Order: sequence, then C-alpha cells, then structure tokens
Amino acid sequence: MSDCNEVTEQLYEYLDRELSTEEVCEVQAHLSRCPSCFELERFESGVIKLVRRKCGSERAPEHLRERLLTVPRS
Amino acid sequence: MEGSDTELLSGADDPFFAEAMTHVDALYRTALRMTRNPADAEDLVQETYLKAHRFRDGFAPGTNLRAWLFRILTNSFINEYRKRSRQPATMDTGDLEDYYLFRRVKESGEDLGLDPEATVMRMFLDEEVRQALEELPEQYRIAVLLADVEGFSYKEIAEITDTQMGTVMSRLHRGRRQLQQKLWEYARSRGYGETEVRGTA
Repeated sequence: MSDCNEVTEQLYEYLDRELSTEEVCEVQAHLSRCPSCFELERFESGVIKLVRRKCGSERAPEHLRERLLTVPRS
Repeated sequence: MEGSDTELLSGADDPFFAEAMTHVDALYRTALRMTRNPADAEDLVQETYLKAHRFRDGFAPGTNLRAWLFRILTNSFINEYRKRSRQPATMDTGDLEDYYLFRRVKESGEDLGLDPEATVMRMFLDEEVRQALEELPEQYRIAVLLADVEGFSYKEIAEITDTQMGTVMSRLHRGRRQLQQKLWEYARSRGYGETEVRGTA
C-alpha cells in the first residue's frame, strides 16, 4: 500500500511510464482513493502535455529540407 | 543534367536518407530550443545530417535511428555551440520545491476545477512556454526537451546525452521545477491568483 509521500516521490516516473507494472498498480490504487494526489497527478500530466503541445508542433522550414537534399552523402 | 550528381539525388533512392528525413521536424524544433535562433538551428540540423551520412556505416540497421540522430544533434550542440554560450550548463535550484506550480496555484486559492489537466493546459500562451523552456540552463533544457517534447525514455535520454539514468532523472526533475517556477512568474505577471488576495485584503 502506498502513501502520499511514496506517490509524490514516484509521480514523475509514473507519468513518464518508467515504473514496473506492479508499481503502476500501486500508484493507481492510491490515486483512486486519494483526491489530493489525484488532483496533483492530473495537474502534472497537464503541465507535461502543455510543454509537448506548445513546443512539439513546429516544422522544419522548406528551404532547410531543400538544403538537406544537397548534403554530401558517402 | 546535374541531377545525376550523387550529391543531388532525392531521398527516394536512399532508404537511409528517406528514413532520416522523417525526423527532420523533431530535430529542427529541438535545435531551435537548444540554439534559440532559427539560423543556428538550421546549421545544427544540417551538421547533424552531414555527420549522419559520414557515420552511417556505424549505424546498425533495425536499431533506433531517431535516438541516434538526436544523439548526433545533442553532441554537436554541446561541442560546437556551447562554447559560444556564456550560460552555465546547470544551475543550483536552491530549495525550490517539487511541483512548484501546483503548490503556488493551490496557495493562491484558484480553483482547478473538475479537470486540472485541461485547466493547466489553458493557463499559458505558446510564447510563455517556449520562453520558459529556452531560459532553462542547457543540461536541464535538453533533458526536458527530450522527455517532455520528444517522449524519449530515461534510458534513451541517457544514451543520447552520454550520461547515467540517475543524472537524467535529476536533470529532468530540476528542469521541470525551474520551468514551473518561470511559468508561475508569467501567470503572476498577468494577474493570475490575485482575485483571492484582493477579496481578503
């Protein structure tokens, strides 16, 4: 059984999918019965998605793609 | 015509190049956050593809090309661009607490509503998030970019940055903490969380 401290210590590893199946089950069990940890987990998940959304959509300019076609290959 | 020149072949007849080009957007946006300017980002990406061609014999087919390209990009950035930068690679975060933004938001008395994930995703502008990321010390910025934006695992980041898993985790946690501190500053400068203060004054 995990308590709030264990969950807050492992939260990023949980969100980053770095925990074992067993550890994931323990965290999820705690989140399902602890509203304050659940709120924190949802918030942190949102911050990570925020960063991904705001910084993960830019595309390489067309002139760069064209430049890369002329990079010498060997 | 010049099209017969080996240097001007299109990607179609070179599976390695064609596959490498599927990662150009991710490499470019990462280079942009690393160098913080489009011209340097383009040069860094070009350098990455040049090296990828030069070292392609060292790449084992079937292994992770995306991680391999990011490793070349990161190494090139650290070895060639860092020299020009006066910014420290890492910075002491002092006693910044974990989950900095969440704690400040809760203290401010603002309501996160039924869907805190959606609430925080609406709290910031594109430019605020990009600027907060670009202001992070280099090693922290790289860890956050690779994990949060590009979705690499801790193990892949350790390989890309040539470091230990423990170091990756530490840089990522510190980077996220500093990022959240900067985001909180932006939110405050827009007056976020002041309603409650005024109400109780």
